[in-house]
Amino acid sequence: MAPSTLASPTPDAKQRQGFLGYLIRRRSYTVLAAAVVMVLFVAAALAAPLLYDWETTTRVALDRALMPLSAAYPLGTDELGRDMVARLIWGARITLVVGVVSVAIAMVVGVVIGALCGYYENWLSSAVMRFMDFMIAFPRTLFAIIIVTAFGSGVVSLILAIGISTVPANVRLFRGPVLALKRRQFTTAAKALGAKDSSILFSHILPNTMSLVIIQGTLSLAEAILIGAGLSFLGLGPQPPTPEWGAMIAASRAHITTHPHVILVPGLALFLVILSFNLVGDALRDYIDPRSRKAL
Amino acid sequence: MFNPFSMTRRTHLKLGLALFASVALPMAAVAEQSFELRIVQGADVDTLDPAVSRSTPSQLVFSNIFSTLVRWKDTKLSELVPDLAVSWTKSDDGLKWTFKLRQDVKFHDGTPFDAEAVKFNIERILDPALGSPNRSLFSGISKVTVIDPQTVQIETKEPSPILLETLADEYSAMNSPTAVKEAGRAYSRKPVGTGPYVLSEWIPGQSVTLSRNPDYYGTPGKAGTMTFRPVPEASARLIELQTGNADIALNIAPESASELREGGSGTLVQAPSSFQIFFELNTTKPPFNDPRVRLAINHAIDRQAIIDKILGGYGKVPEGVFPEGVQGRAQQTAYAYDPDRAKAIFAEAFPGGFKEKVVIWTCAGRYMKDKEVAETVQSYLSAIGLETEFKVWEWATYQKTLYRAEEGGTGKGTNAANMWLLGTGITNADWRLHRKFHSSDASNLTGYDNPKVDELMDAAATEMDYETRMKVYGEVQSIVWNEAPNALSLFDQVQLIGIGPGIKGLEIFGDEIVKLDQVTKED
Repeated sequence: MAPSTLASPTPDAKQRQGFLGYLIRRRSYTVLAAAVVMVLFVAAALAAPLLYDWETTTRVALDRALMPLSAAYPLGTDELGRDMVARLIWGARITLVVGVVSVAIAMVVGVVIGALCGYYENWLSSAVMRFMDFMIAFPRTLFAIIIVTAFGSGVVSLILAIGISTVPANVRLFRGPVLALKRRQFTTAAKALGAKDSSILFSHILPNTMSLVIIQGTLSLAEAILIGAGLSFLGLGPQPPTPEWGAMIAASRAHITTHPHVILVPGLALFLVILSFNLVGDALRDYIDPRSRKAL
Repeated sequence: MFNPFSMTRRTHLKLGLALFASVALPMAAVAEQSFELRIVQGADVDTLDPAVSRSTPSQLVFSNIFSTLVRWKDTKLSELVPDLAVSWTKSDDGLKWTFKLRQDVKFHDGTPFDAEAVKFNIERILDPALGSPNRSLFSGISKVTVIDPQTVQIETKEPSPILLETLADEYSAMNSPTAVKEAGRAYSRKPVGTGPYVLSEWIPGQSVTLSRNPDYYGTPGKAGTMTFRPVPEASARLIELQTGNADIALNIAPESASELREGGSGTLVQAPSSFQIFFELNTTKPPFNDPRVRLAINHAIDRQAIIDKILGGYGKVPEGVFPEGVQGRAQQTAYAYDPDRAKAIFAEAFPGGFKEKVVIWTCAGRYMKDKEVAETVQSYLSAIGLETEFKVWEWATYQKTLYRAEEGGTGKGTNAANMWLLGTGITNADWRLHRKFHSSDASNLTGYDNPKVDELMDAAATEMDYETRMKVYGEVQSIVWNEAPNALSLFDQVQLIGIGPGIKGLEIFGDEIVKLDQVTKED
């Protein structure tokens, strides 16, 4: 479905409308629900400061610790008396920021390096590819610990750790299409017309990989959120009193048998968000016609 | 087909029975004589060298490997009784103590225990090259003389009222001179003492195993082997106990305490503790260089709420720097929860507000609910308008960092933080005050420098009359509580220990050392 024309990036909005329409036609209501969850998640994260101020989210109030769900506290309170709804949506901000920025970094760096390695086939690109293989083999958690030791714990370290460790996979992924595309007629034609290498890469080849970027981005986002929560659970993320879903899960383990809502709220939220991103990403891939991924 | 090894059913049965009996009977006999005692605690052992150790989890382990000249008779610290020394006399001027040593005692490596060994050990801990953090406790000792292999004389610079108590402490344990000389810096991994147990294996981060010393001169230990494992998570320790993987679980979390109480596979043992948990304050830089501010901050937190909600009621609001059970306790009035007063004093001391961030450090898992309490304190400080920065440390790294002397600041330890969570459980009045409040002490991490306190403590150090000495310490306690504290006190800890079915005979001391060598296990 992706046309192999010269420099024609597919318009996003039209594609999205088409995507939603496609979902409705396919009657995949679970994916539609997942898309709704995604939108709600982003909306909640953006709206957090408007609904709850930082004070309410972080101020300890021991007299109302571990309260169950009620009208005043729709999701109860945590072990230090803070409103779970407030902590959930403020935590969504961190989750969203960490996810989006780390994927953005990984995408930009990965696509650029991958495209360059695909376009130029020489000893340098081979060396880079081998280095990427090495990086993939290096355990992510260990890498994250190294980053945190160097830069201190916090959102920046999380983003760096996840972003850098996702680059190698993206490099490998985007090298393939570029390798294939550069052998196509339109590339030879552009070269014959005297176009510079960079112009060919950026105006002709990369736009044809955009759909792959979108799909990979969505799926990467799900993974990044999961890893971010995991690292935060281990204590490598933002420090108290900043709420973060992984850290909230870690702190609530002591009360898992007596007050399960404290662990279920961030746990279910994490599960739903990651699942939604995965479902939507998969559906996107189907929408953009599986055949074309190879034809690209 | 003819099978030379075929057997009739009866022979089969007899053979089986014989095999079973040959395995089971010796096992049953062995089970009576020796069993494995398995203990889980929250932190790993950092060193097994008594002279340099600072940490209770390590002391718990090596107290079984070593003996001291004298020891406490019981957990109430009622009286000092002979151990490696069988009798002692004091000269008329009070400066010379002569000890008669027990005969025919050998270290685990075969070296005989004698007066030379005593001299070696005391001189070792006094040697600045060793870098013992406990050196100042022994600084009153001027000379050790060997009179004969069974008699040793210790001279002090001034009449010392606390010499005997010092010699009963874990740091005064007798190490084998041969082993120390041979191992050098590696001695902390290869301890050799005269105690009821010998170190059999130490896998760092995993376990320490001790096995019974058959040549011990005193009452033999009951367990055949003792295994100590570090399990940092309180809930994981409880699970180890409940699944039968451990016999004793130390420092049970308050929320688990109710689980144990209601039956289940284990019993909860509650014991008073001499541990008080506090935030030490860096007195060398703002905001805590001002004693008014240090006093103010003690009114900023609601301790009762912390004890009720976070510690599940297992704890006490501090009434002075000494909890109940510490020698010479002079009870003070608990600080009232008065955040407005705290805010007002802060405003007075820092007109325009204190703009810098207060750096808060805490450990996780060493003391009961340490991290959660620290988070709560952070919140109370934010409530009175302070900006904070929070950092959680793992215990071993935390200790190292705190005690690593940095340029400027306190000169004794780190200067990077404004406040750090710590606890102390020393039951002896002199050391407890000296370590934290005397300006010359190497363990005085806060840089506390109060000439009046120094004067009082120096006077008490030579006061031979017990009552008078305790009165002076009472005065010190009053000053450091009511006028110029060096810490934000949090709570007096309660010891919560879980023991498996059939376990009996623990002797629990107030400083959280548990004497384990007489513990029995019934099936």
